[in-house]
Amino acid sequence: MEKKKNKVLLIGWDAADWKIIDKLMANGLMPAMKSLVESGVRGKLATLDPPLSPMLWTSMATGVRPYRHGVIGFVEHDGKGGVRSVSSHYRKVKAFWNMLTMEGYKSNVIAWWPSNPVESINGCMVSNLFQQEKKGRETMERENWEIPEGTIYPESLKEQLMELRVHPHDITGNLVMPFVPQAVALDKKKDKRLTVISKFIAHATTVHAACTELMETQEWDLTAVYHDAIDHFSHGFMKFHPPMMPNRDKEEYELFKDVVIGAYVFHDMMLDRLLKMIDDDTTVIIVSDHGFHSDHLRPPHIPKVPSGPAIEHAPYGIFVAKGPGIKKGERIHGASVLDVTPTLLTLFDLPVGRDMDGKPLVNIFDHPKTVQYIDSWEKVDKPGGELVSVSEESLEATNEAALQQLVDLGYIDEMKLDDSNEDQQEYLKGIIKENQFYLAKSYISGGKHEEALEILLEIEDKSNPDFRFLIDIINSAIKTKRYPLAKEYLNYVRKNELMSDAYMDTLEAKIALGLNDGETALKMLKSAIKSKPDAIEILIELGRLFNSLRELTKARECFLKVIEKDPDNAHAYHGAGVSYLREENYEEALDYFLNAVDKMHHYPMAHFHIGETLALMKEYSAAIGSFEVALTMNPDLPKTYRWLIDLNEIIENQKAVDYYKNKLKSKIIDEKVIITGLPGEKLMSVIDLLRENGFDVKGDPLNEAQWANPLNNDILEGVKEHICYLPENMIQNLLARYDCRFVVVNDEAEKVSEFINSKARLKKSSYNADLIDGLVKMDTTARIWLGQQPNLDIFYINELEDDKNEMLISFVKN
Amino acid sequence: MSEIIVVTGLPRSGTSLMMQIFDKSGTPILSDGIREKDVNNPEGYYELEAVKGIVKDNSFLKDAEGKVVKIVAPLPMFLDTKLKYKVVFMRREMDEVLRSQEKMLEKDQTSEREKFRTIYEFHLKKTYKFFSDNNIPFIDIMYSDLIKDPENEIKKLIEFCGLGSSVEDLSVVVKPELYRNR
Repeated sequence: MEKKKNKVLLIGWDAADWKIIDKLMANGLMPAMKSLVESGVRGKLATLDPPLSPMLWTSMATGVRPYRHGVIGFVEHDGKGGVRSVSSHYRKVKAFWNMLTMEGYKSNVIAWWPSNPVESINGCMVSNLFQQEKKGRETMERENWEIPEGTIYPESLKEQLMELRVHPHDITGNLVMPFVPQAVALDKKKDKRLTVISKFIAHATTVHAACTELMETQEWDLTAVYHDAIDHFSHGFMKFHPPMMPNRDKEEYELFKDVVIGAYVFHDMMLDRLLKMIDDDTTVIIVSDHGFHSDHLRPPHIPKVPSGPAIEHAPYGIFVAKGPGIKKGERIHGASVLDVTPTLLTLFDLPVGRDMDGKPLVNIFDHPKTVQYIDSWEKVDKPGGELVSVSEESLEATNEAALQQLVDLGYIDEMKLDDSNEDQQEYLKGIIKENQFYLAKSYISGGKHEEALEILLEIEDKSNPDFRFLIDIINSAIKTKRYPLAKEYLNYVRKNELMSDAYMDTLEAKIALGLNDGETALKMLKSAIKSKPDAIEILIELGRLFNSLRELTKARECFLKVIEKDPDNAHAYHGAGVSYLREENYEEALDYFLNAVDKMHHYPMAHFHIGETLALMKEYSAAIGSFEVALTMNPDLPKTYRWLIDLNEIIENQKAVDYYKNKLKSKIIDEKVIITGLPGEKLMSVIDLLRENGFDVKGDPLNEAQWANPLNNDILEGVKEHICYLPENMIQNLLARYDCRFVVVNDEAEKVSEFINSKARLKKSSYNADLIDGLVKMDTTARIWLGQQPNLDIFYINELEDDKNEMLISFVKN
Repeated sequence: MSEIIVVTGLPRSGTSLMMQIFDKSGTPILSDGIREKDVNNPEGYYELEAVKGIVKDNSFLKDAEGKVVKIVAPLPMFLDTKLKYKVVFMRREMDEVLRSQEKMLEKDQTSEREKFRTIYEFHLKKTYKFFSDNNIPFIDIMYSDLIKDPENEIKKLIEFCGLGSSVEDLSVVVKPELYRNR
């Protein structure tokens, strides 16, 4: 195979965050990064939940979610009844270095987490334990600093690379000064934080040295290097980063406020060196697995639970790409850590696995790039590199050192050396349970609530309740519509007071909504918001409920309050957009929806609503584009297909109409259109209009006796007509086997009451308070139900207007 | 008969009753009698201790050709897929299963009933998936149908497993007074 001329340099900076980088670039402190950003593309890289680095960097290297790649948590079972630091052993799928090896490309892979033991790839591999100066629990001195087995491939590079390592003891006071300008004032022996800083600097320098050495001395197509130092520096010192957090010691703040800045500047200097080593044909990509809160979102405390420090992680990492054929000075949206490997493969003109969860970031390229696909790289029968074998003794020593490192970083609990066997067994059980929890979180993050629930129910232990497990059980039970299960757990949580009242009320409201009990839901959310008026999650739920009830101003108040507190909250923008859309204020709606997808690109409902808004603004081609995006993100939403059919009919693209009709046919069976709403003049005029246009609408709003058989559960049984009227109080009884579209006519209870009275044979007074109350209640319940059915295709009508009639008829027809 | 017959189902869904039917049919039973009969299963459990360790060691199946063994769900997932099986899947209404288990354990689990219901649903789903993924033939027998109309259900069983006994011979095993804890 002819080799590709262009090389790729992939740089991983754990926890790097745009908020800090942007400030430093503006102040001229990160010139290398600035030059890249100006001559390439930049974007946010969405992380995955849980945001734990070994899981994320493995997703980055494989293009699949953790429940598929198998690297879970910080530690893993060693297969002999013990645990070891997370390693390459449990990775179940190929990483990009294996794929490139299969295709004859040469890679340098340095310090990727986890990559020990290394693999016999085409190229060189230096594991994440290379920089480690610990052997077991002892620190090795410079002169007898051994290197563990399984750290370097090929073994012949060992001597050459060993020489380059920088020991923490080599980091003198002067070298720490840029991080802690007043370091001299500190007693290094008393304040261990200087030692920690020296260690982080030494490790990063060692990784950088190995990287530059391999880049200089080896032939390569790809060099991938991973640095964990920004994450470590941030966990240790972000609490001292300006502005000073409340309740911090002023003296400590003054001492350590420059550490995080120092770390970023240091990384920029290393980047500068790497950029000087490459030519213009080399594509450079910088990524981080998650961000790091550096402002008012910094948590005041770290929760005392395993992996508690991860609360400091922010949901977006960074993405920068510069190189031949890549756009310049532009921003890209919608990138995720899952997209890194598919993008690398595309850069090498190699096929992307259809089984990958990520997608190639084709929007980084100047010109459209054709992406090739194969079913799976797992099925490619070519050698891609094997794990090198390591002796038991060496494995044990490196393992203990790596575990100690994780204890030091606060990710796992300390295990005492003199632990009795029983305690040790308990510790191991706890760690395995924790990993199962991360696996469940990973399933939840991938939308697989059923799989998550199965794990969570197995690991949940009422004799030792863990609120994290219980929250996820309740939420997953709600997502899988297991409301009695959710209720059972919520009762338990309430009885044992394991969460705040406000949080429990919110969960109860979600359950009530699922059970179509709007009254309870509203009561619970109002009670929750009373005790926590600023809680974002509660405001979002309340706003959504108000949207369902068409209390649009109240809904908007909730969402705008969220936006004020968390300007990046995509759900709040989306909710506010829905409130404007329902008011037919399309300009405002569009603005909010666009903001929602800017904050979170992978948001199919927001793209759907952009499409809907554009369609209502008669921007048909643009609307089609948005619906198509929504479809790629969620191909199971029948209403997206219907819109695409309608719009393509309007623009007379028959080929597309046929295509989407076929697609829709495969998704649904026995479809009906239901007309509903309060039985007033507006509803009658809609039905009249449809009948005038040749539709055989079954049902008469003024004769409810036709639906009055409560014993008949299947209310549509025997209804042959494609379109029929159903009273609002019947719609919740529709059986799942019917796929229904809804035309909902909005009307006011008072007007409807007047209309009904005018039609009654014995005229009562024109105002009937009881009737109005009844109508309001019926309307409320129906709207909550409609609001809880995300897949329903609903066409709301306020007034019959000429320009809308066409759309109504088109909606009913398909 | 070269297959191994596996009787499965959730605990307390009639698996022991089904084992009695096989016993009556003369099919050799793979059991060790370690778990003795008691008030909950007056005719015995027909269990094999080794089944409990099936996750780590399923070698006991190697000598089970032509025999019948009781393996409660979801443990059939650890069957050696190189061997051949026919599976009789005992099903019982979930509320009855839960109540029967509570009675047997002498424990009020009403506050955790939904948890167990869900876990068991997962177990059933996984077990069925395993059978269909591995093309293992199975038959569902509803416990309530077996009690209500033993002849009909036993006829299905005889046909599925190719048993040599008559419907009448086997139906006497089903004693309606055992249909308890309803």
